[in-house]
Order: sequence, then structure tokens, then C-alpha cells
Amino acid sequence: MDFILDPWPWYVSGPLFALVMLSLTVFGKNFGMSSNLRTLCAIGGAGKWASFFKFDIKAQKWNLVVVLGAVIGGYLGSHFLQNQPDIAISASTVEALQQMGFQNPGASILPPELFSLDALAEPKTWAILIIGGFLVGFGTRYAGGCTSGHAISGLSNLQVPSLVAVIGFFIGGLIMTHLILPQLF
Amino acid sequence: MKYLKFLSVGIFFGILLVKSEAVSWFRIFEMFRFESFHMYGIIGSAVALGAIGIALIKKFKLKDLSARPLKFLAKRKIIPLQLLVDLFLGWVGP
Repeated sequence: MDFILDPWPWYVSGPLFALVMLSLTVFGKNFGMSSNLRTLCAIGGAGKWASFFKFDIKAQKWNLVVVLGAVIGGYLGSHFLQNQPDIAISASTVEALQQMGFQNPGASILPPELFSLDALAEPKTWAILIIGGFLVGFGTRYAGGCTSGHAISGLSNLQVPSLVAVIGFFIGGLIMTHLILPQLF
Repeated sequence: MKYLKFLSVGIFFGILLVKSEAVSWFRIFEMFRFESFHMYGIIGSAVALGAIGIALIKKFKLKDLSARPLKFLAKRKIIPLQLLVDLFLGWVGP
């Protein structure tokens, strides 16, 4: 059972991500997570303000079911299918995070400094999460997709707009990691 | 239930996100510092196999489960395969 309970190496995970994308393709759908954000806004009644949110919600129900499954799967994976929660990030990454004030880099899936209930005592955490959430929501809809839709589905289908979007995501990530995060911590 | 297959794929996807560590903030931070091959390996192998799969589906004009021809969000411009490989190797290669 250790091969399931230990972290899965990239050469196992990568092909399995392709399998997820190809399964949805064979089901006659497209693999893309962030379009659900649009659907959720539409369900919330955003169609009253913007025509972008006026569309057939029912046709997107399958995708919400995928997300529901992902939440269940994430819970199962992190609670029952892990030997230990450690993320084996490189020593130099650990050092860089410690210098920024992170206590135990890699001891959990997410840093408690940003994603724990205790961290919500700090107004800074609220600002980071809310602004970050807005940028994810706006950016993925403006780009027409996120990492799943553009990087995995789009690049696999050799789409030029997806390549442009992925390069954009990467530049954004580099700016955040190297220029903005060091200012925040 | 006609949504059962989507729920199953979703559950598998969720487990995969955790077990591959692709969902980890630490892994993503590490990726942008170029200090591990892990995330590049995941994305690279997923796209490589995905591209082969999509190409096969197109070549053999496979139908989806309800026997309709598969639709792709097709744009006219296609990325030259060589460019994709060059970009990937140039980015993470030695």
C-alpha cells in the first residue's frame, strides 16, 4: 500500500492528469476548472448585472459535479491516503521560506501562515486571500481558462491562445514569487 | 445517475491533486524558484501524453460516449510541436 500512501512521483501523476483530461474529452466535455467560477456567479444572480453571466447554467452542471468530486477526493486523499503530510520541497526553498518567516516550510500541504483559521486574526491574511481570490476569478475568466483548461487541455490541443495564456500565468507567478511576496513577508 | 461518471472523475482528480502535491502552495512556490523538477515533470508529461491522446482521437475520428463526434475548442492557429518541445526543454532542460 505504500505506493499509494507515499507521494506520487511526477511520472505517475503527469500521465494521470492527462487521463483525467482525456476521460472528460471522451465524455464529450472539456477539462477546465475555472469556468465553474462563472457558473457559480451566474447561479448567484450575476446575470442581472452582466450579460456575460447569462447562459444555460444546466449545461454546466456536469462541471460543478466534477468540482464537488474534487473536493471529496481532496478530503479523502489528505485524510486517508497519506503516510505523512510532508511536502518534500528542496532545501533551498525551505531556507528561502524560513528567511521570509515561515515556521515549518513543507510540513503540510499549505502554509498555516496563510491558510489556517489562526492566520485570519491578521487583517493582512484577509487582504491577501480576498485580493488573490478576485484576481483568480477575474483573470481566469478574462483569459478564458486556468491551469487545467489552458495548460493541460489547451496545450494538448496545440492551441496558440493557450500557450499565450500559460506564458502569462508563468510571468505572473514569477512576479508574485520574486517581487511581491518578499515585500509581504 | 448520469452524473456518476463526472463525480468519479472529480473524486479521482481531487485525490490526484493531493497525492501529486500539485495542489501544494509549497510546490508552486518552489516551481517559480526553479528549485525542483517535480511540477515541470507533471505538467510536461501531462501535456505530452495529452497531446498524443488528442491527436489519436482526431486521427481516428473517435466518437464520445453518446456517439457524437468529439468537439474541440478549435482555433485555426496551431502551435508547432517543435516550439512546444523547445520551450519546455529551454525552460527546464540542462
